[in-house]
Amino acid sequence: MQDYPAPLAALVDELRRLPGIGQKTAQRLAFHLMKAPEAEVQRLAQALSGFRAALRLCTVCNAVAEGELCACCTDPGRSDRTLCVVEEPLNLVVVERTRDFKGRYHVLHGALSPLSGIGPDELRIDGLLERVRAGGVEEVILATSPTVEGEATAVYLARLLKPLGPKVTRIAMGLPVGSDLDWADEVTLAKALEGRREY
Amino acid sequence: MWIERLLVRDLRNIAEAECALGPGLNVFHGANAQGKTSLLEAAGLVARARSFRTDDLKTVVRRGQPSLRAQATAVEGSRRSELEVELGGGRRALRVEGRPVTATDYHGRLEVAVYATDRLRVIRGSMRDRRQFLDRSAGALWPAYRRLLAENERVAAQRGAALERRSGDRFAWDERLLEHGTALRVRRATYARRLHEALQDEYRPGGETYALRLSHPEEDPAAAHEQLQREIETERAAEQASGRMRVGPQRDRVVLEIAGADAVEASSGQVRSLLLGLTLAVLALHRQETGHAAVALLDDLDSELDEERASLLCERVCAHGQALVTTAHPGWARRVARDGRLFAVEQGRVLAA
Repeated sequence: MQDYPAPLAALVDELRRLPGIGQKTAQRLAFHLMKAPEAEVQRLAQALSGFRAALRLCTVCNAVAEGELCACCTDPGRSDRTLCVVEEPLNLVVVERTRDFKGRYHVLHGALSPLSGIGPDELRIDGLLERVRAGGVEEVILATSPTVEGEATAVYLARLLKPLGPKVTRIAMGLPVGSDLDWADEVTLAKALEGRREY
Repeated sequence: MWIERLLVRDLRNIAEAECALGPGLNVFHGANAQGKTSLLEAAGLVARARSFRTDDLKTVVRRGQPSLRAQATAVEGSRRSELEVELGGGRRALRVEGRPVTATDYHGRLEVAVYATDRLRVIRGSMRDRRQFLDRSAGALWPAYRRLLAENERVAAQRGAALERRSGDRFAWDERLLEHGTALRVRRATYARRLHEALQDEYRPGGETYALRLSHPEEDPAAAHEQLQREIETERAAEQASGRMRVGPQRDRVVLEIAGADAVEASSGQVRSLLLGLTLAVLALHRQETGHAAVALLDDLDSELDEERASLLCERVCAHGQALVTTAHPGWARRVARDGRLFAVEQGRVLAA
């Protein structure tokens, strides 16, 4: 069997390390790049080498930022009274897409998972507590994922935050809007029933 | 619900076999070690994507072959679906109508209840075997139970790790255990009670009394919650000191009794009868809950019962739905299969007799 030339094999190896990419996809991407115009490959290479240096974590909320503070933290149109806590920077982007939330964020960079060695000290919790202690925060929305780990993280944070004064809420879980009830799985439906509200 | 066609490739000693089954009784006969039980195992594999004989799936693939395939056409009313399980090289592929699906999507399309001597561990084996039998039977009936079970396993593993690390987030894992553990215990208790009730109406040779008891039979969520909370508090210091979990539904006891005594101590004959009674109770509960019959897989039935009783039992099971039965006795097979279909199994090949 003929092996790939070393530079191509190295590229396939690196691509394979990325989440969601297996051997075959890595090979396809590598061969695509080999045939692509030089300018296109150069643009990708520059984007890859430049983006890490250009980005940092916001010193207030830990979101991805270009400077010391992220766009949300510097936006004067946002309210300081509500804080939305998410696990990852990507979750913040998803909430932002709704264009409905006009408060501030706090990114934990993970969820509690003792199995993976992630305890409270590994998450960015101290900064959150400091922000609440500084005053002005009336509600903290815990928007961690509805997984076992996300729920435990929410429980943990709720216990620490409540004595500090703000209202602590958890995002609702249930049926996707616009979908037919017939297609809902039993567990999601059970959660939705549990979280029903009165009209 | 029944299996119209069963196709097996590279499973144990079966290179390839295909059978067109009937909606009632289907009898497979042949000498020992010819592949009769493997056909039942294939039907079980298509239904539950796991073998009822072993958890080590490597041993199920025919020697020298990379993978096995078990395929079935499942019929429910006027609806037919093609189900397929492929196993090999540490991978499991599940397909419906030829399309790959997730385990969550796959489960619940075909249900079976199994009587086979490989399953005697349910009665004689460890507490874990009995809990697993109960949880898997309940999970086959209620999809939410499967999710609850998976979440509980995850919570138990995380809480165990938190205790071992003596991590500061222990209270959050206690709370998770309390919520998930209570929900599982309540559901498990309901299933166990109903199975116990069904056990009273099903097969009981000589009128022996059978019972299924749980260490935590509480079905009221508030009471179950309070009980688990008490247990967590009682064990707090001991768990802290040892760094190990001492409470939770993953440790609860499931006891089977024959005439008031623990069935672990019962004779081989009694244990087989109880297993048969349990299988029939699972079938009855499935019918009550879903309104349709699961497929009965009854291995070597006439080694447990005399011919007349075995025939009566087949008649009773088939009055509700489909049964796949194996026997080493061709005479009985021919007599009992008068109203059904008969297959001869020889060296891994299946011949319609």
